[in-house]
Amino acid sequence: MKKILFFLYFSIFTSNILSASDSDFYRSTGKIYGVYGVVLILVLGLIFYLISIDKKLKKIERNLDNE
Amino acid sequence: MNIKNNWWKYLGVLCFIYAITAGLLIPLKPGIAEISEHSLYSGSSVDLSVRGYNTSFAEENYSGYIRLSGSQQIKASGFNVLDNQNAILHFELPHSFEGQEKVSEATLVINSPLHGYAIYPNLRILKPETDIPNNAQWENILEVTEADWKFAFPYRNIIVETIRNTFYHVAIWMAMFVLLTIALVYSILYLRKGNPVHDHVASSFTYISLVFGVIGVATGSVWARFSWGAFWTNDVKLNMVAISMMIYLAYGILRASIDDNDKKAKTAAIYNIFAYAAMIPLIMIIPRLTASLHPGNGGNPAFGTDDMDNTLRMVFYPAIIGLGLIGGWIAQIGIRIKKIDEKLINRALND
Repeated sequence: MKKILFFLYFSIFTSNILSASDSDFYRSTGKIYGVYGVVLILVLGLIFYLISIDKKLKKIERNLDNE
Repeated sequence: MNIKNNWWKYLGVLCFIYAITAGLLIPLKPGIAEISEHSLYSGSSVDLSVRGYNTSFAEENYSGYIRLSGSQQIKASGFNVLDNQNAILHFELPHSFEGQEKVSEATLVINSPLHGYAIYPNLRILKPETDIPNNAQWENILEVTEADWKFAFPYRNIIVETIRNTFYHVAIWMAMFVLLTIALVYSILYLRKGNPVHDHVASSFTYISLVFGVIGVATGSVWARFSWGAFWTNDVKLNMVAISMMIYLAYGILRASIDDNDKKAKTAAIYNIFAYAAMIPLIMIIPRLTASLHPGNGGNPAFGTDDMDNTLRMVFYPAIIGLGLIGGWIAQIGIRIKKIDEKLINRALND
């Protein structure tokens, strides 16, 4: 249920941006893509670090199984 | 997850989501994107074509002014609206201005009752060689009535929409400083008490700070491409940050290169204190003593009054809190993993 709510929240949020009309200046100078890039790097950076923590945990789990 | 003990994780996620949604969706205030001429001669009449950003010339009653750096202005005698973004302003410039200088700095101001005013600085008014007297006179500036309060971020020339990066790029650096300070405190605690848990805390916080730092450099690089025109410039702050990142990368290498746990923890704690003491002058002090492309030379950029305004702060502070708490959460997971690892090793030794 939480996941569905989360998905709904973000799909509404992204569709808001994507449906911006021409009279909206959001993307008229192209500068907003710099912001998208920054947010993307931020989220990806955190995810990559989480993946590395996940790998560390996997190693410990393997050690546990070997005992 | 138990809310009582983990409320700060929920708070962090909420702040982060708020910072991303509010930071991307709140519009900018209207601004002046372009004007046709930057140098005007006093005593002449000019048609200045103005391209607005987020303006609605056709729908509202705008008025235009040219303001001198002192306290005088002239109102546009004509405001011909072409469409919402384009208008031609007609000015009859007075033939003289106060002072003996040949050039006066001026600012173009457009004002609407609904959306407030937008300004374009960097206008010059020059005195021509031969003076042509006319009837126009500078008038004293009347206080512009503030528009109804509307929640919008300020418009700044050149950076325009990328002002939103304040909530991500600047906030992640602020969060990094907080996390590094926690790491420093626990490094000192470890040296005083010798409790291995303190070393786990210090190292986990340092690692997540390093990740934040790398994200900070990468996001800054993207922002630089969009506002300074290049991914990497020879700006003093960038180079100092690069050195600091090297110092902290060496922290990770140092830890990995020592096998004995006790020795590793002690060396790392001492090195961490050194790294922190090197980073603060490198990032916080040196760039403010020299010319830097970053705002706030000789000031306090992120918390100062010139570069921030209250609408930015309402997203900027939650962004710092959100990123800091999420960083703390990730660090806590690292600490727990290390605790488990240590327990397993101890058990294996006892068997």
